[in-house]
Amino acid sequence: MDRSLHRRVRFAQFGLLIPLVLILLQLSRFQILSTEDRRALDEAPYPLNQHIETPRGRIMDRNGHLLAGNSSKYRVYVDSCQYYLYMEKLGGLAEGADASLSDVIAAVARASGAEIDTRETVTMLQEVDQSLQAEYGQPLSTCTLMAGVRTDSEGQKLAIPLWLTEEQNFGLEVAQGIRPDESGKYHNSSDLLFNIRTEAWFFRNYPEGSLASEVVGYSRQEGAGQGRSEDGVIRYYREIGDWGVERFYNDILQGAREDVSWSVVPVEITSNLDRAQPPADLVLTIDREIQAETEAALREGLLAGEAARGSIIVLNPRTGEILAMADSPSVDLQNPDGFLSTFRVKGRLPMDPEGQVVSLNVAAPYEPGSTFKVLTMAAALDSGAVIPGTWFMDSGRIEIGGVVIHNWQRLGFGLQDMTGCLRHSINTCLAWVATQLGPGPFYEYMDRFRIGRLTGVDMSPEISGILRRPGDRSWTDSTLATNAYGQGVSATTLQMAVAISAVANGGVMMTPHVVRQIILPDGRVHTVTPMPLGQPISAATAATLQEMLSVSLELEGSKALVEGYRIAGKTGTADIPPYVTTKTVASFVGWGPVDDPQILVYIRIDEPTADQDRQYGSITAAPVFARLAPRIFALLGIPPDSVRLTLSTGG
Amino acid sequence: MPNDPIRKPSPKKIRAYKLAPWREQTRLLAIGLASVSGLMAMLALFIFTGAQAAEAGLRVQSLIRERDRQLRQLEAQEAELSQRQSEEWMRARAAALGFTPAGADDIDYLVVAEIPAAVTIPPSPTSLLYIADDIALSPAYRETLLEWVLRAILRKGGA
Repeated sequence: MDRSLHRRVRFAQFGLLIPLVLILLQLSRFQILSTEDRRALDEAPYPLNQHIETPRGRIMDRNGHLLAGNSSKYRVYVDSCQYYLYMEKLGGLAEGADASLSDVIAAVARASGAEIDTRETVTMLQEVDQSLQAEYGQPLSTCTLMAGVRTDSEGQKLAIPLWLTEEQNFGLEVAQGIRPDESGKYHNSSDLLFNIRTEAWFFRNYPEGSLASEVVGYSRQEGAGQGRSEDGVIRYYREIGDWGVERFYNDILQGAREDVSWSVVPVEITSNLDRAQPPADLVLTIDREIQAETEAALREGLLAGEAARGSIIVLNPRTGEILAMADSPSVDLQNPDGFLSTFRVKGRLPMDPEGQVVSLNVAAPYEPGSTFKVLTMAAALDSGAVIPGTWFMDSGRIEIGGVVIHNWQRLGFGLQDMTGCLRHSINTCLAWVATQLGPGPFYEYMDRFRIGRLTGVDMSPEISGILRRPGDRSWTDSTLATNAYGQGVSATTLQMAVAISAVANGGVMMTPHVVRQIILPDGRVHTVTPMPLGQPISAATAATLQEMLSVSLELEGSKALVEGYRIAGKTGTADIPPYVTTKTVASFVGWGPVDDPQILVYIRIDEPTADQDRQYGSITAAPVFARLAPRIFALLGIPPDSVRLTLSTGG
Repeated sequence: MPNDPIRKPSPKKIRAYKLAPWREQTRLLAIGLASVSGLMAMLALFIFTGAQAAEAGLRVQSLIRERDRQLRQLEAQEAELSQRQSEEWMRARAAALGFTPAGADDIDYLVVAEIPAAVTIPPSPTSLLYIADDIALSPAYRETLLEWVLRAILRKGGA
């Protein structure tokens, strides 16, 4: 062989050797040299089971103050749990045995600072393991830690879930050597915590507590992990709104919770992320400041009337926007344990003796009493059955359909025009007005006012009242007479407020709503457009009736009058079915300023004391309006009438 | 001569033109080694890109986890901040500082011409923080070898 050939062979050898070495180096780099990412891959099971979730959409008041947000809590798992359970069994027998489940749980408690009943937890996990093996032949592989065990009323043992706070999880992760401590130093991981894994879950957070709790509602976690499988992904929808906006808009508020098998291929990771359902945020029409004033006024009103329950709605009759909605007792959204007892107090109504009334304004119809006279008079004026100057001679009693109707305190008021009938809230007069109108037109007008029907407000659940009509089995001629002054007919506070808002808004009722804007996942903002609900009466009738109601308040010297502002309104005092006690529901509806109504307030106080005539709306509910309205005018920047007149004329 | 028969070459000539056995073996060996080398180079390419993809995937996972952790903190901090600025707290604080609610008499009203209507700027949506429609992954993870080569050529040409 000559030298040149030998050189060529050597050259070929090197030429082949170099790529071989490069390949080996690359293999070594990947297989032997460790990086943080690869270490994570080594330690994690493959494919990685990843829990991904998006938070529930936020709820804010009209000025962007957060009413419902999210915070995280952490669930704790022990992997390779079977080993620890086995060691737990041996622990009592062998001296110096390996770590048992008790040791591991105690280490978690030490590291996190969480209170865990180790003995009860271990016992329960052992029982779960045994039952799993007996029923399915499969041992418990991963243990979900619990804080302890409680016994329910039926003697059944129930686990108390263990949820670590952010601080507790931080302490645990520092002890595991996953995160540095506050000084930036990593600690050596404890062997006891080697198989401990935490998983973050979003929880609803209501920073304002009980403020506007009736509107906001409550979102709770549903059931025990019933998931829906889609293309190998277990998808959970666990957040369920119980009432209010949380319930009505649950579909767009809810985030997604998914357990996915997470590949290391980047494309697959991102496609998994795309699965997470984006939530929308809601901006309410509620004004936090007005809401707080309303709740304070309600509390004072209930205290003054020694009443157990009550509610107030503040709405803008021009748009149907609900600025505040309060009921009492109200639930503290940060304390779900107190919900049931609160609902029981709200629900102690004749038409719902079982309780579970979540909203007095939207879901608890009542017989409104004299505030209903506004609707009767509106119908009669609009149809031409009466005019403001129509006279009525009141003897204090009138017989209609074989039933004798009396006035409050059985008084007779003599000769009165229609304004006088409203001023003195004369039952006999309004019953007579209804007969002048006739049952057909009367109930047709009530239909137009949507009495007995839902308003369509964007809150759940909304329950309508009952309006019996001619032809219904229990309807008689006397029903028309009693309906005329708001007895024998039921409606919610909201339904009454919306119906009467037609008088304040030129005869037009606007659809009530509590959501002002929906912020879509892509950042677009959908602003809710005010929608008319109907026009039951003409603008002229509305103006006439409003003037009558304003004058009647002024002539009466009502306790609802507000200094500096001309208002219109009507008191109401309703007997409570089955009318066997002297208990009443006192109410007042008022709006203003009369020349440009911007707020309508409906106040309802249930079962005030009869002491010092406090069972009457004029005594108990009207002063609440006088206290609340000026505060709302100030917060909305509505000047007193004299100032507005001066400013508008350029004076 | 055109019609002369073709004569068989002499054994010497045949031997002279015949490829030596060792030369043939070397050639076969070289072809074989080149094939193996090519195959190994391809394998190396697969391993290299596979390892890169896996590392990138782990990195993406790690970054997503980190982002998740930080966004959870943001959500929690937003809730905590709101709690600390709750209406009840603000009212109590204002009262402690000596403020009282303003009544109608405390307010002076002025006419201001051409004042723009108050505009509420809605907060950024929660979901924007969580959903990235197009997470910036290198196209190398999605394209074929041909697309990759073409892109590389075009990039070089355009540079």
